[in-house]
Amino acid sequence: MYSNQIEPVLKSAGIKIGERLRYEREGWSIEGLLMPRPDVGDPDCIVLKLSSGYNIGLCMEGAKIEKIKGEAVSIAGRGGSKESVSAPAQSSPSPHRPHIFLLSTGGTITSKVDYVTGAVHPVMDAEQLLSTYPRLAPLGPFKSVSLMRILSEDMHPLRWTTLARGVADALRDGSEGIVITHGTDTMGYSAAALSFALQNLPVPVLLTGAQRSPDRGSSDAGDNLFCAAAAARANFAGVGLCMPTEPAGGRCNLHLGTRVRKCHTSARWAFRSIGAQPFGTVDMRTGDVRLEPNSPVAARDHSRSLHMSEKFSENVHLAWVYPGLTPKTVSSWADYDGVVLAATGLGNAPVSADEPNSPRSVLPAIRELVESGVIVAIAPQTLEGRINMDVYSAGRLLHEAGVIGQGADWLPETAYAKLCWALGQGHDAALVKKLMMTPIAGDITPRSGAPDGLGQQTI
Amino acid sequence: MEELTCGLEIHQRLAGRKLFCSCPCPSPDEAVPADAPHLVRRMSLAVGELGGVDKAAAFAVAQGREIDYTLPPAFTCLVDADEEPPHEINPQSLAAVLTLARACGSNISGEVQVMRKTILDGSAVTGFQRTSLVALGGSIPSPKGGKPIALQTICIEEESAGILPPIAGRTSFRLDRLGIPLIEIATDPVFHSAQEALEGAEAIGLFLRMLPQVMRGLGTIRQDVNISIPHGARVEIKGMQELRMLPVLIENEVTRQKALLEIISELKKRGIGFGVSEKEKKEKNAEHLWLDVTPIFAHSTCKVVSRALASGGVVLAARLAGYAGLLGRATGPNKRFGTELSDYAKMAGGVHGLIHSDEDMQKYGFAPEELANLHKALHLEKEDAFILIADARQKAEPAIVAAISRAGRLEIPGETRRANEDGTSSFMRPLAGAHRMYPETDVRPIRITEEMLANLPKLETPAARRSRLVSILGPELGEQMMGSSNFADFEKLTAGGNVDAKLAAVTLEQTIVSLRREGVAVEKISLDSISQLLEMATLGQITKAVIPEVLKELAKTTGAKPEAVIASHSWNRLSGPALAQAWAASGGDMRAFMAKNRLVVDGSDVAALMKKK
Repeated sequence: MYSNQIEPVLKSAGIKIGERLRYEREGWSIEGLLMPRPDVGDPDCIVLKLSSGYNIGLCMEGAKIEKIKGEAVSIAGRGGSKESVSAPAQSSPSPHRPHIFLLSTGGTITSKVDYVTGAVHPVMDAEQLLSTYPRLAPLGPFKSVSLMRILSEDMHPLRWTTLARGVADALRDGSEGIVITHGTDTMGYSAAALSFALQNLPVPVLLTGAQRSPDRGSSDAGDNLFCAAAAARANFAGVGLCMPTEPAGGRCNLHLGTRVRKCHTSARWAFRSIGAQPFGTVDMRTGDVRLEPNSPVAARDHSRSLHMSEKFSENVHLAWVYPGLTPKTVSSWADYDGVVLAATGLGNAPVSADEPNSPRSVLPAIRELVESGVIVAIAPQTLEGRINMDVYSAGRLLHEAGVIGQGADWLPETAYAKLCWALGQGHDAALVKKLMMTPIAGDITPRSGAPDGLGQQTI
Repeated sequence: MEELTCGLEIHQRLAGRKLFCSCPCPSPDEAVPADAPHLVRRMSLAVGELGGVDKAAAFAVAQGREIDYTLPPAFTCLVDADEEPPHEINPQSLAAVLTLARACGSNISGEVQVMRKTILDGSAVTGFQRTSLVALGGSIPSPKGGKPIALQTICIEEESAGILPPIAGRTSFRLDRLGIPLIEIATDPVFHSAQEALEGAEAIGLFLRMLPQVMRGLGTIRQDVNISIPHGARVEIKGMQELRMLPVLIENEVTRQKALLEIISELKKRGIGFGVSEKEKKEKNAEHLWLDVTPIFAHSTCKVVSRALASGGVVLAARLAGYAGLLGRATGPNKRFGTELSDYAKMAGGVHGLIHSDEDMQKYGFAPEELANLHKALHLEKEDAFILIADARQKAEPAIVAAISRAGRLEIPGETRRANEDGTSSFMRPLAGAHRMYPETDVRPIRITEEMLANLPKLETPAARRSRLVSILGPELGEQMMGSSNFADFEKLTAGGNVDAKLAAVTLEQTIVSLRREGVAVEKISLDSISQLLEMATLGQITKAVIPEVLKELAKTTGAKPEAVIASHSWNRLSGPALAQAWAASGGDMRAFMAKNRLVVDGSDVAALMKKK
């Protein structure tokens, strides 16, 4: 953990992490506990925790250290396997009614700070979450399973399969609703993936997370979990994402799994529905769920049976179209089974429409991809709006080359998750294209409504 | 008072940018704009980092309590709102604290680690305050040439949010104040009298003012004091508004601790006193220590009680066996032992206070039969006392448990207390321990290199500055400039050597001050303009008498140039042949001549002309 200069010094002084030492330099000395070195910082300094609780970094150049006898403090590190699945746990006394199933995957919402090192790890499982947030109790009973302990940037299509199976197991267990705790970075992708993998759901499946870790007093974890649990008992069915609305709102939005995106790096209100309105809200104080009367979301129906198709392809690429995209770059995607192009405007790419076979044009490369069996789908990088490849010649050329996505108003991330899913169902190009272009769970809508109030969610 | 030891913790705000974001720091008199946006947040106690009093009780308060935050747009951003991670530490603030540490001869950390200090009262939106230990040890020269004041630590930390009056029943804070850089200097417990501590605080304040970055004005420097007396406890008192209250505050604390020691020895003499162990509380056995006596007061004539019951509250009461007469014992001006218990109840449960048996029951309006029934219910004997709390159950329960456990302690608890305006103090929270602190993982540790230290400016000592100012300005003006907030401007004006130092000091300290009093918008005049004007006066191109007139003109139009103003008013000084000619034409009446030409003629020039004749 310490640098090559310091490790030998510590070793020869017989000092390990968590042990007390005296540091002396230029006639001045101080005592403290040796702390592990954070990942960043100067290789020539050791970090001591003083009795006041402060940490201080001290240079080793010209310094002497000496071990002080006494009990060492155990300093926790990362624990547990990342994919460890805990045994289902049931929460204590609650009203007699069907349970809500909590599935935890890691992320900030389940992070715990190590108060000694300050490092944040996704360690809390669903059961610990429940004991940490007693205000969830009236929404119980709960059951819980920890599916994985990862940060959401490490989510991948095979893990979406694990998630989908976790939901199916919870449904078989008679759950009234399911809450999945998830890191926020890729929660939108997972929400879309589950929307495709879990069709005809009888009950709500809600993803929620936190933008501030539970170690701090200002964490949004408790509120978000409370709202998601309340929504899991509400009268709707399908995959939704439950995260806070605007700053002063005191509410969480319920976003459709296929239409939601993280639009801010750090704020609590980072999630927005794109091309649709949130289909409901939950009051953070009372847990009251208000569902939009005209939303496309189905009502709860326990007699409905789940259509699960949980397999995903891992061999799909999501590419951004930008000024300067070269044929060489496009050709490098040949090994994928599918590519989603987040295209400019209505669905354009640099194809030099007047001379589509010129060296700068990406059209020949795209045509080659399609001809070699790669499914190429297009989605708007503008996020808002609909693909229409008929308006400009660039679009027409792409369309003619076999790029799919005409008329789709899907988000690039949603189109990516859908292509992973569609290719998971088989490699027959016709079938995959058909699956792609069939609207599922609101990913492609027939009508573009009036502006959805983007920009209102600013501070 | 040889037995007293106290140490000081001085917090000094720095001007410029905030410590962990790019917002400017507001000046202390900045008003909150009426249309500033608001945020509502709830502090959760997901992780029990409170320690002390009663975790469960604190939990009950904090859980669900909403806090209102006002965000003046010019001085707040998403970092203040805890919606964006902190930026890098402000290098100017860090340089200021390093400059100070070097001047104090402190041992400077090789790598500064930013920590989070848990704070759950809402004054930090995040739930913690960012703070870093920059240097250890060192000293500050003492006021009267005595032993230097030994320092424990020098830290740099974030200012907390400013409290506002409650909004819709919610505790309310302004976030413009949050994140202003603060230098925190903690001294060793070196003071043995209130007077020594006062002089020490003044000396440290003066030393801090040698740093050009310090902010000036009301509330920009705060003094907390750590006090202990033998057999007593270490108590930290925060939030003193005025330094002159320090001696009163210290004396009142000594009185309080002495009174508490007497009460404790009386309790021991009576062979009573009971403790509520942590274990007992955990097992929820504390409940048998109090009773729900709501039915007794169902039709109470006491307003406090009937009001609480009307809004669905309860009345809880406890017998304090053997405590007769002690709750009314004075512990300071307008403070009794009962006040101590009441303070704990307030903090633990958010109740308004408690009623105890050494108070005037008639004043509360209790009916005699209510009291008789209470006595019966609690099995009160002559040697017993009781406490009573009427409030919502979720507030009253933790409150009465906290009050009972405070009563049962046979030692003075170590506390952080809040200074009251009258020089007394009230309990805030148990003395914070090291467990409140954990690393701020969003900010990288900052390496302090030898090179960085070598490039720091050298800090002038107060003594050196005083003798320098006195030598150029004389004793009176020099002393005035020593304590003046205009010092930085004075240094700038005189740096080039083109402006007469006395003229600069008089202009800043007197001329501009009296113009401001007359209502002239002096803040519109740039320091550059003043500098040009004073250079002209120093060169003799204008008279000193015209300076206020030019300043008035400069204040009228932003961007006006002194030279242009002087030219357009023909305010150049008359001298040489022009003056001689005018004087000759005037008829030789010095008074009339000066009255007419006061702004452009220097009296001494006329005197010289007269002499020549």
